[in-house]
Parts: sequence; structure tokens; C-alpha cells
Amino acid sequence: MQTLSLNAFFNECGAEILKAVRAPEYILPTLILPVAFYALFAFAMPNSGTSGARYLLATYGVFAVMGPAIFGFGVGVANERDRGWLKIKRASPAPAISYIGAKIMVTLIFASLALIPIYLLAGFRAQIVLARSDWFLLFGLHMLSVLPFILIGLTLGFSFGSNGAVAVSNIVFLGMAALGGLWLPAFLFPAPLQKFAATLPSYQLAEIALAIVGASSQTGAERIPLQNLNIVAIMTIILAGLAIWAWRRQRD
Amino acid sequence: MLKKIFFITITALVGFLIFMLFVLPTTSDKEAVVFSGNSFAVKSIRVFDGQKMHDNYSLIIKDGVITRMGERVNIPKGLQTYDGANQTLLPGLLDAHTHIFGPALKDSLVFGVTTNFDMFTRAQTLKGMQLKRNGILETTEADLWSAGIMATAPGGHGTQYGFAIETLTRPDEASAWVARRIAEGSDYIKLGYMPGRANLNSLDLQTASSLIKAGHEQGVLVVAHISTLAAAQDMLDACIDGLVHIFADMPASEEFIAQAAAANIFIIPTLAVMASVAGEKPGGDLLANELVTPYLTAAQKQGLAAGFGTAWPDFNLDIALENTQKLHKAGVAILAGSDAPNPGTTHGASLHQEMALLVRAGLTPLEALNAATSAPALAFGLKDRGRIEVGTRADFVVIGGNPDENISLSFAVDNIFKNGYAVKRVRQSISNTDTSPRLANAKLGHFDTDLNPPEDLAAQGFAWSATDDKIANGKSEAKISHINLGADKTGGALRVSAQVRPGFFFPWAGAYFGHPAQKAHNIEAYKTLSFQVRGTPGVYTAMIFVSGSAGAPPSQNFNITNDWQTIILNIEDFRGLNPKLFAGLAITAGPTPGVFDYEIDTVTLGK
Amino acid sequence: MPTTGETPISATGLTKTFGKTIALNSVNLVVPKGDITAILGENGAGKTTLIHVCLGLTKPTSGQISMFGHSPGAHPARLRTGVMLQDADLPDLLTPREHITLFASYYQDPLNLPDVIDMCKLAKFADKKYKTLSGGQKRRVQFALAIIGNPDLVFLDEPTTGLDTQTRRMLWGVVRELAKDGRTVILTTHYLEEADALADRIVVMHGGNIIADAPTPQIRAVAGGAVITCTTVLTVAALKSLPDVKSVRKTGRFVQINTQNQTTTMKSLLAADPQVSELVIKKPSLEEAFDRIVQTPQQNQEKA
Repeated sequence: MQTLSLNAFFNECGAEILKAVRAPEYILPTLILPVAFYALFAFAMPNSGTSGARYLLATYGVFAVMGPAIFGFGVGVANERDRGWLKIKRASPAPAISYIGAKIMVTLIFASLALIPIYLLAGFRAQIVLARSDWFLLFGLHMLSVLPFILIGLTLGFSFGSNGAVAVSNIVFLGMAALGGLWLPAFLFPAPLQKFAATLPSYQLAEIALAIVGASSQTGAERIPLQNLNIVAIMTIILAGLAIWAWRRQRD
Repeated sequence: MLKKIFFITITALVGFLIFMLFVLPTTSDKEAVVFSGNSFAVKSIRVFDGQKMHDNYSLIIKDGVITRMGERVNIPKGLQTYDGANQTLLPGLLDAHTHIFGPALKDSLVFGVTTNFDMFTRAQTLKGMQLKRNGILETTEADLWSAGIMATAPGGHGTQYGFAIETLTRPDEASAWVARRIAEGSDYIKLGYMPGRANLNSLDLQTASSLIKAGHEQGVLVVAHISTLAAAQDMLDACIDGLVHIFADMPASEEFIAQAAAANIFIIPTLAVMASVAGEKPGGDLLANELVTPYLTAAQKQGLAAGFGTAWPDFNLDIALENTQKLHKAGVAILAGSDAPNPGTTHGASLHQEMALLVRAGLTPLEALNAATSAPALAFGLKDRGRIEVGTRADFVVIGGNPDENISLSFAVDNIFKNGYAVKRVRQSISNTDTSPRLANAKLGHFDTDLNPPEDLAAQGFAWSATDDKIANGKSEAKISHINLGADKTGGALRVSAQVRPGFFFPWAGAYFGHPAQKAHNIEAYKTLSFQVRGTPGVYTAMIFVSGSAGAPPSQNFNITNDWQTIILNIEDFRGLNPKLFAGLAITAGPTPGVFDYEIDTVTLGK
Repeated sequence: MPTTGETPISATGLTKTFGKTIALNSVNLVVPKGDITAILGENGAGKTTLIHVCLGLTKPTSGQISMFGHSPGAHPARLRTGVMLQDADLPDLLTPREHITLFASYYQDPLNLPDVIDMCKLAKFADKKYKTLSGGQKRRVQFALAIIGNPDLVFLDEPTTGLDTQTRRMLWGVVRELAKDGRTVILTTHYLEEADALADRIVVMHGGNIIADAPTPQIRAVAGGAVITCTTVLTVAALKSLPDVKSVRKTGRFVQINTQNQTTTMKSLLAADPQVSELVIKKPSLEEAFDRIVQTPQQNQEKA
């Protein structure tokens, strides 16, 4: 039983990788956009300096993993649901966990591919220096950041048809990035927008990442990353509930 | 099949990720303690606050500004803390006399010089400096205050650096000239007043006085470059705010000292550059200092190895030291300034040497430290730096040891903080200059059929051309052509028609062999430069240019007669030359003015 | 692990409503091992809903159902089931070979990949992307997915809709092979011939009800034959006595003769009344077959 599920999972992962690689028009923008933006805002802008590059490493890392998670799940699931593929899966002995697990694995693969060029630029171009353990911690956090966005993607995928999912995923993706302070620091926002930013997982995750890289807090308030982590955990539970609800709703 | 795809992908990716995470730059190598962010605490450290030493102090720095300090400071839990046992924390150093070209601000910061007072540079260098020095961002460069371009007469001191500057000759031009500098961003006005020097024009006293008056009317300080007591006295009488050199021609008179003290002027003696003029080779001392050399770039090393060559008239280092001491005793503010990057000096390291020279002149180590920290901040009206007190910015140099006991300990820089951010001190790897390609051919020119160098050199980008001091606003002129009759009646030769005219410090006109992009090439393998030459008898000059240097090139003189002769020059006699960075050479007439026609053949590097 | 001896499908009183629509109305169905059962019915008759309930894709509103002794959709049940669904498509960017490999990994004892490719005649396009295949080729791949797991029970929902005759023949052949090995096959169709050609047993659905459930020959007996319409001088009684006539109805000046064998009935009719005119012979439509089944329910409910 165990080996069977594992075998199915590995095959499923291979299939997901092939599907993604054979549709480069979908996957390439999510890989290239973050590093292009990072390069633009961290290096091309005047007076950006190392502190800017350090700040943006934290936030653009979160931005980089959002794309594969939201689009992979939102658009991917909606599309496969639309064409009845999920129905065949459910009728077959395909373990649901291996299908979702494989999608998560491929999301992590593409998330890390989106992160790599940003990290390389940060380390070797901007000369950002972190303790070895902090590099690992930051990378771990960025990878974990896919979780809430996967749940958001799943909810969208279960709730919209494939065309609708593309549009809504784009709105959610760009909204989360811009309003969560991933492109421009949230402390530059007007006060009401800052309050709104705090309700977004993108903002909370970015705050943790900023604490890890030790970016200075421009508002004067101390960063308490554990508090952000708790908020992210609560958000993730709520999003999981939402995803399960959306799944049940579309099933019958 | 599907499984294999997954396994290959995941293995390659995880392998690469682990590799990447292990090669990303980290702080673990202990070169410097690197704090993240610009909020932290320092505990148990000796602090020089700009005036006095305090033992066992603690500080709290928040967002790059000192928020608390003293003997009893509670450090909040969780705040990253720097343990300063056996170390001394100084305010980030201020160099009161530099010239900013190339990477000067970067080089400064590597030795804890966090603020530069430039005394003459290109106007475009000033762009963005105000924004940067007012901000509190992480940076790899020192902050800059600048005079912009200096006030001088056509052909005067300041016109020799290879870029056009606006000169003036009449008092009625002064006000508008000052207004234009202020508009360009100059923080103060520097003028050159060197009357009565042969070969060198100067502002007259009326124009200089008008400039001082105009500066004061428009709300800026005015400082003067002088080299004699008489000139200093003129400036003092004209209400100058500061002198950017000490005079070394004769001891300061009692009257002058009393008047200077009463007028509350400041003096930047620039003893480091004076020591270089006096042939003491201060740069050599720095190059031999193990605390210094690992952090010098190749270009800095070349500058330090260079010297002024000729002895200057009316100059005596002992008099300079004595004058400094007397004026200091009388209460005149003495500011430490290196005058880098003059030959024998460099940005950053030379300021530490300047402090040591001030101690040699008779200041105590604490007074020398004061001259490099709070004294210049006070003189130029800067409130946010130069002192360690609540509210000033966290520009620090942390010294391993107590420079109060021995000023030369200031070279033992353990850590540097700029705007509260730890500055990464990069050790210069010596190998980075080894990458320059070798020069393809030792025969630089035979001119048998034309002026082109051998094909392999041409392929590297080298070519022969005319060169003259017009590029430095001089008036000399050179033309080159090919003639069919060469030395020993073989092949052809390169003919130079040169008119060397006064108008520049060291006028020249001649032939240039070089790389248009100044790309570095390695000529380590060669010991000599030889060529055949004949022409108008006189003294000529050979210069070798290196990549990435804006200073005066290393040079040697030789004599020409009407008959062909072979000149052989030792490459090691081109003082300060880094043979790994060869970018070109020139065979020129000058510096004596006149009309010169000469022919060059068979230019060769020898082993 | 369930043994193969258990009953593949056993359902009683299955009801499924969508709002006010009744998709299944108290359906009873037992499918024993080793049969080919055809579920016959028009669109909307409830065939697909019944299959979805059997697969666990849809929960019944009420009633009981067990698949190999498990509740529908339970993993042990799914392990023994293969499906080809009507309106389900596969991801575009994988090749048939990749699809089948992936599906094989779900099962404990799948068939050999090359065998299935051979059986379903996929070799020519096994390595082309799914989206480049023709409709018929796509259905063949879907069919291969239904059988790759070597399942005890295979559901084929409208497997031959839109297929060319050649592919249909191939599919029929494979289905027969499967049944020979003791597997149970359930297929839905609205082609009477398909049910006739393949099934051991035919279940006829109409409006959410099973209106007939009998071995194929019996259903054929009810639904087979023809309707002869004509004007004749013979009386209804005389017509009824002709060979193979099942029923006679008079409408106006026409009579409608339901016959089991049009050839014998026609011969005797022409012999008895050479003047017979306005003659039309029609095969009964599925609808008419249903009508007839509905008219004679008792006769056909032996199995239920």
C-alpha cells in the first residue's frame, strides 16, 4: 500500500514536471518576472545600495514563490477540473494525496527555480552577507511561503472555470504582491493601505523574511517575527478551511 | 520513465540549492563582525567622543543613530550586541582635504574615513552627494562635502588635471563665479593664491579678496591654497576662513600666529603630502604596513609608490612641522587632511598617517584624533558627525587597542560602521591584476612602411598617435607622420613635429603608443624600454600610462641630439609603475617650451 | 483485501435527486461477477448518474450500494475498478504512453504497457502529445486507461459515441476478451445494436427508473421485430392469428401489426390478403421498444 502510493507519487511528480516544462509560456513568466523586477528595483534604480537589495531580497523572495503556487494550483486545477480529468482521477485508485502532493512538489521545484537567480544576484552582485544559518532559514521560509498561496490557488481552482481562474489568479497574484508590500515597501503606503496590507499573508511572510535578513524597520517599530508567524499560521488554517469548503462544493 | 524524470530533476535541483546555500557570502569568516541592519548595541568599549576618552561605555544605536550612551545603559534583550572589550570606538574619521576621483569614497571608507572634504574636483562629482550624506542608508562609500572646482587664474594651479574648469582674472567676476559654484552644489569655496611663482599663474590679491567677500556674502566658507607665509598673511588679511595647507617656506611670525588665533581660522597642514614632497616616501611606509596593504587596491599602491620627483623651491618639511606646532599651541584649529591622491598619498590610509605626523609635529594623540573627528565637523558646521553623543549618526571606527597610547595603533582597524551598518572590509586579492593579458609583442613600432604597430599588437587594440597637453587645457601641439628613411637607413620612422608652449604645469607634446580603452596589459616580463631617436637637441620625457589611474604618469627624462642614438630606459626607474597594468607609453618633448622636430624608430621592450 | 468472489455491484433503493429533478428513482441493481451488462437508455435516463454513484463520484440521496463489499469510492473498491467516462478529457501535454504509465502506477497488478498499447492499437501515436490526437484516438487512450489496471470491474460510459466503425469493432473485441477472463463490464449506450452485440444482460433505464432488466435475448424478444402498417380487409382477429404476430392495433383505416419476425408475418399476410396496400414496414425505435417494455412490465421483470 505504502510503496504503491509512493510509486504513484513519483510518477505523478514526473508527469507534473513534464506538463509544466511543455508549457513554457505559462511557467517562464512566473520564473523570470520576479528576478527581472528584483534586478530592476535593486540595481537599476539610483541610490538603491546594499540595504535596498537586502530589503528587496526578503520581499521579492516571497513574490517569486507566489507565482508558481497561485497559478500552478489556481489555473492548473481549474483547467483539469474543467476537462473532467479530476473526475477520472477520483474514480481511479489515484491517491488524492499523491496528486496534490505532486502538485506541491512541482510548485516547490519551480518556486526554488524562481528563487535561485534572485539569491545569486543578492549574494554575488549586491554582496549581501548573511550568516550561513540565516541563508538556510531565509530559503526555508521562502519555500514554506508557498503554503498559503497554494491554498489560495486551490480555492480559486475549485471555484472558477479555467478562463475565470486565469483572470482571478492574476488579480489575486498582483494584488497580494503590490498591496502586501512586496514591490514597494509597505511603510511607504498611506495609513489605511498599511492596515490592509497587514491582513495579507504576503505582507506577514515578507515581515518574517525581513526580520531574517535584518532589514531595518523604517517605521521604528521592532519586528517580532514570531508574531508574524502566528498570524501566518492562523491565516493558513483559515485558507485551508476555505479550500476544503471549495473542494466539497464543486464535488457534488 | 516519469519517475526517472522526477528523480533526475529533484536530485539536480536539491544538489544545486545546497551548493548555492553553501557558497553564498556569509559573515562566518570573522574578517569583520557583520551585524545585520543598523540597530544594535555596543558594550564595554573605550569611547573617544571627539574630545575625551571614556572607559567601559555602552551605546545603543537605533536605525543608524545613537540613542543612548554612557557607563550604565540597559541593553534590551534580543538586541544584537557588539562586545567591545579591549577596543576603542572612534567617531568615523573626517578627512579635511582630499580630491575625489574614481573610487576615492570607497577607498576612504575601507579605512574608517566616513566623511571627505573635497578641495577640488569635477562639478559632476557633486551630483547626489547631498541626498546621500543626509540619508542614513547602507553604503560602501564615505559621505562627501566639496568645494567643486577651485578658483584659479588661467594656467594656474588647478588647471593641470585634464579637465576644463572655469577660471577668472578680475575681481568683478568673483560674485557670479561663486554663485555658479553654489548652484553646482559646492559647499564652500576654495581658491588658489600662489603669487610670484615662475611657470604658474595665480589669482591676484584683489580677485582672491573679492572671492572671499563674495563667499561670505553668499553664506559659504572660503578656504585658500597657499604655499608661503606671505601668501598666508595676504589671505588672513582678506578674512579667509581657513588655509588648506601649512606654509613651509619660513617659520610663522609672531604677528601671523596671533592674528590667526584671533581671527579663529582653521589650518589643514596636509603633512602627509608635505612629507612626500620632502622625499620622505610616506607612501612607502604605508605599503610596508601589514595593517594597511591587504586593503589597498592596485591603483592605490601605485599612487603610494609614486613621488614628486623634483625638489620644490622654498620648501622645508621641518618648518611645516614647526609652524603646525606653533599655530596649534596658539589655539588655531588644526584639521587633519591628507590631500590624497597626490603622489605618495592615498584616500583613507593616508589620514591615519596624517594623524601620526600631527603627533610628530607636537600634538598629543588625543589632539590628533580630535583633528580628524570633531575639529573638522566644528570647522565646517556639521552637527551629526565627528562626535560620539546621543543624536549623532553611527559612523564608527573600532580600533583594536588604544590609540591614545600610540597613535599608530589607529591603523589597527577592527570594524567600521557607516550609518550604523557594518562595513565589509574587502581584502584585495593580489591575483586580480594577474588576469590582464600579456602584451602581444615586444616590438612596439618599427615604422618600416607605416605607423601601425605589429599586427598582433594592433589586434590587441594598440596604435600610435599624437599626444599633447591640450587634453589638460594646455597649449602645446603635436603632429606625427611617417617618413621613409629610418635609423640605420632601414625602413621608415615616426616623425613628430611638436610645439611645446607654456600654459600648463608640465607641458608636453609628442607621440603616444596606447590602448584606446586604457585596458591593462602585462609587461612584467620586460626590464627595459629602448628606442632610436634623433632631432632637435634638448630634454625629452618618456611616460608610461597604466590602466585606471588619473594621476601624473611615472616618467623619465632623456636627451636627444641631431644624430640617431639608442635610448635605453630601465622600466623599474618609472617609479610607482605597476607593470601588470600597462596601458600605453608616450615619447614627448617638454617640459621645456620650444619647437621640436624629432624622429623615433624601433621602439622595443627588452628583457 | 476483498476477494474476487464478492459481488461487484449490489444496490437497493438508490435514489438521487438534483433539486426537483429525480435522476434515480429507487433503483435496485445487482451485477454479479463476469457479466457484460449494458445499461440502455436515452440521454437523461439516469445512466450516467447511476455510474457516478457506483464510482463514488456522486453521493446518493438515499439507498444502499456496495462495490465488492465496500462503499463506493473507497480505495479498495477503486483498486478493482477501471473507468472510461463520457465527458472527461485528459491533460493535453502528456503522451498516451505517459498517461498510461502514470495510471498503471495507481494499481497493484497492472497489465503490461506494450500489451495495452497493442490491444488498443495505440502504437502509431503513443508518443504524440494528447492534444494532437483525433477524437477517436483520444477515446482509445481513455479506453486504455480504463483497462490498464487489470481491474475486476470496468465501467464504460458511452464508450463508442462518435467513434468510427473500425474503432468500435476494436473496442468491442477487447471488451469481449476482458469478459472472457472473468471480468465484469458495465457499459452504457443508447445504441440497441451495441447492447445487443456485446451484453449478456441489458438494463433499460427511463426517467430515473430501471424499466427492464433481463438477459439480452429476452430484451431482444420484446424490443426486436418490426411494425407493419397497412390497410387490409382482414379482421383484427384474423391478423392476430398470423405467425409471430404479437399485437395488432387498429387506428382509423390503418392497422398496426407488431411482429417478432417481419419475414414470416409478411409472407402470411400477403397470402391471406393479396390486396393489402399502403404498406410500411418499420424497425421499432428505442422509444417504441421502451413503450413496449413499459406496456408489458411483468413479463420482463424476472431478474429484478
